[in-house]
Amino acid sequence: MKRAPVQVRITARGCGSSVRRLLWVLAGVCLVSGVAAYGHPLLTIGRKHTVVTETIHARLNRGTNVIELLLPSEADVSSLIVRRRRGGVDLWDVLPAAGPPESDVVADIRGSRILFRRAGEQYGTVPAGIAKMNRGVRCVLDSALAGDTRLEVIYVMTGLHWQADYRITLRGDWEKDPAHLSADLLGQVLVSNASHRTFEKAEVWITDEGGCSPQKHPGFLMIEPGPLARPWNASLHRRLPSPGRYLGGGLTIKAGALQVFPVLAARRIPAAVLYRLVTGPAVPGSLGRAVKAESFLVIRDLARRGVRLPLPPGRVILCRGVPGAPPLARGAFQAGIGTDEFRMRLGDEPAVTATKQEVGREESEPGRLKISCRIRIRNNADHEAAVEVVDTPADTGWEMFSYAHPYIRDGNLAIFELKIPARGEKVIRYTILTERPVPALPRR
Amino acid sequence: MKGARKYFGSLLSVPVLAIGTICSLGETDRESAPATILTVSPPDAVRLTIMDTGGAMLEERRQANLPPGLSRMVIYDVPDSIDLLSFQVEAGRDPEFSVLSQRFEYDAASARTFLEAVQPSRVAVESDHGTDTGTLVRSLWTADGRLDAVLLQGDHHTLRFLAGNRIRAIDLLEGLRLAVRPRLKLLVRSGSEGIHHLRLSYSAAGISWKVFYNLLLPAENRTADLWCHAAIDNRTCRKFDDAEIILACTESGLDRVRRRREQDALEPLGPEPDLVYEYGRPGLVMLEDITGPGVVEQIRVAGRKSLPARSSVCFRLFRRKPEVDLFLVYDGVRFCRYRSRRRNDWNWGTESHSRVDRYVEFVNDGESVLPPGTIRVFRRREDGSTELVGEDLVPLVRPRERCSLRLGPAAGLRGERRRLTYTEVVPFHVYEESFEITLVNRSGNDHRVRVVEHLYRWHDYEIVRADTEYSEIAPQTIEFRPIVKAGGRRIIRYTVRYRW
Repeated sequence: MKRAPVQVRITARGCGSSVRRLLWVLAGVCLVSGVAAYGHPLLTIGRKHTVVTETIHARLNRGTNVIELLLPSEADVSSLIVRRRRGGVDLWDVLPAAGPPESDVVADIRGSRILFRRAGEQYGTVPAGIAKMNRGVRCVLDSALAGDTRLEVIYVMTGLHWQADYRITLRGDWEKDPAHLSADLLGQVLVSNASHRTFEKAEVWITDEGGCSPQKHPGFLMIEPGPLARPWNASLHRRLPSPGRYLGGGLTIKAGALQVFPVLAARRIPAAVLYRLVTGPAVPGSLGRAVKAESFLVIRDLARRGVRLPLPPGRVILCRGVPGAPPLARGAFQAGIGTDEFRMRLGDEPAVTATKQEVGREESEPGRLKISCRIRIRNNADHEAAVEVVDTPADTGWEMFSYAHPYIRDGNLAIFELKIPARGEKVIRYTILTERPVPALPRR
Repeated sequence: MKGARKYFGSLLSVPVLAIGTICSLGETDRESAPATILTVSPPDAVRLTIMDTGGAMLEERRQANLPPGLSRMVIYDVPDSIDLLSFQVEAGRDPEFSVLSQRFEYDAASARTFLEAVQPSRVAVESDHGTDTGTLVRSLWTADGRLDAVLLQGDHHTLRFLAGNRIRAIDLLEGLRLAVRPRLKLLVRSGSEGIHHLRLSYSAAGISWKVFYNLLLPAENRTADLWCHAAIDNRTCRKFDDAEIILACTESGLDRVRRRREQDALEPLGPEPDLVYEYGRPGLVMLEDITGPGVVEQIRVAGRKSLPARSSVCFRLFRRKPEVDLFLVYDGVRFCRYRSRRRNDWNWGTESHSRVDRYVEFVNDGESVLPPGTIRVFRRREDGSTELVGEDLVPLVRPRERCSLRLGPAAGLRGERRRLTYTEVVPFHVYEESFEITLVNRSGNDHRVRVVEHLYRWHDYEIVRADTEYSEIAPQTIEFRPIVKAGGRRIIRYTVRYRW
């Protein structure tokens, strides 16, 4: 069956302001049989791809129609979907539009220029700019209805990226009184548009689609502890996508430009410095080795403070509240998915240390051992320290038999939270039951 | 009587034909080919069978008015990447028709073929040092296809050697008859006079296909929109008009897709080589060594299509509205490569990962197969915008088969698998093992998660305790389907007893 292409007339609507729309309509009435224009684009900007959804108004004939679209050159034609929401219009073939366009009206999907042909006249040449910047495709549509129709055009394109940047300004002296701080938070999303298309009055979503594409296994981890503690575990969790975030409507994303959109502005949010100590399984008979702490800036209860979550992941700069002072630290903020806690590593803190020691071991029944441990935490600083001890009681499965301090179990970890007075120390004691303290050696 | 004459006539014709063939073979050398060249008509029907490994098999019907005996023919509109060894011609009602020699000519295929076709001839070479005129004796080319130098003979038998990177242009000063269109010259013998209906078949490189699926998930119900388009890339210089197009899935092409899917899956060691028995070969052989170019499935593109030269076109294969199932799977076990696989190894299968994966599944309810290709899954938001949910590879899905696609990890969900106990009830005969699976939901919605557990130690097993309902979905595989509330966590514990 050979398809006879039928030309399409596209009517004007949704092409910007009402004055501009009126001009387009007048131009259509005076010069051509139809004018093409597009509605406001809807963008979902991901890490690798951007999904563009646009609306066009077309006057279709019943049967086979050919419409010609000038997509951005960064568009992936294989992802093109042209459809009517209520059905009745069916996309068939997508062909390259080589040479002068064949249809009556060529709609430049950038919305800035429209080519037309009067009855009996031929095109001259397509303007060089458009020919370079856009990819002309002819779409063969089957329509079960005739008349003005609103069609959706969906395609995937590259060239748009986003990046989130946060600035935290600390109020208070975090070295002298780290438990009573406050912080001003500022966050912005930088959208770069390296494509040749300007999106006017766009509604923009940003997503972290890092996990959307099929990915290979992250690697071999001999022991994977709970999700919070170990630094090497971060690489695994970075792959998880965060839910999309609505950036705003009526935005103009200009071609070849970098634009900044604010996403966070909060003042005087209580913050604190937390010292984390990571201890591993105790070695039988050893006196233990001192572990020094890492310090983190922790801001909790963000949602209660009016911060709209989720926050897109991005870079963080921590500054003092003194003009001209150098930044205290730089880091990366991984969006806690659904969590309202903001945590940033500040550095090592040798003044806070922990020593873990095995103090008792007995075989309660064959193959089952009862192990008692003691963690001594010392604070040599001149201020009180909020400490989080992330402990691995045993390499393999364990059950808590008795404990003197409350803990939270996360996977194979036991997490203790406590406050150590200035120049003071505290001791955590617990007893666990485990099957075999030493796992079988791996075979090669 | 008529039948008897025909019978005896056919008996007589056999030795006559044989003698004639022997004579004609003897006469070939003595007989001179005619000087006139007959042009074969453009094709009136073309069928392209495009392989998924690249390349296409072309079948064409053309006509030629041939005299009896030897004649020269030229066929235009053949692709520049034709494989001459595969070229075959049949003339329908002329059993004596045969091709004695064939030659392919296309001087404009590349700069190299062009310069080799024009030498020796008078040229003017424009270079950085000026313009030199003379006879082009030879052109030299580097291994990567760049012009290295040309050798030019001057009027007084002087030779000039011009470096290729200095040359700007070469002008031909003589009128030469070059084959600027690809053409195939044949010397044929025909047994009868008149119009011959020729059936040409040959293979050509430079034509390939890929299939793309776009699946648009609705916001409300389960009925999705599925479009399937085949992108056909024609890199040859030939334009095909009104061609019948068949997409062929070969055994080796499908094996390639299977390997890519295995690489993308959560396989810590990568795909293991498949060893199989092959009839007629001793011992085990690698599966990839015996997969061949045999066509397994053919997909016909509806209608007759035109393929422009050196461009890509997308033809729709079908559009469907399948009922899709979107679900989450936590299959948390992971095997460490340093651990042995002894069934009573205490450490076996105690590692885990935390990804909860999103899957989409639908049934191929059409009459044709789904060819292998890339699928993009989009989801519509309530404000009308569209989100790219994920990408995956679709394998070959036959009618009424289920297509299952992994779309990547789910946001806000995390799993954890922990071994609680391992007991030797009767050493080397009965063992018990308990596991605890924890699912954490930090998203804003309730989710039902399919927790898959593989009872990998032995096939004789029994679930002695489980605090959640389960079902056996495959040999040595059970599945729990708990609901994890928004912001909450759900713990599943079970104990399995193995006997051997």
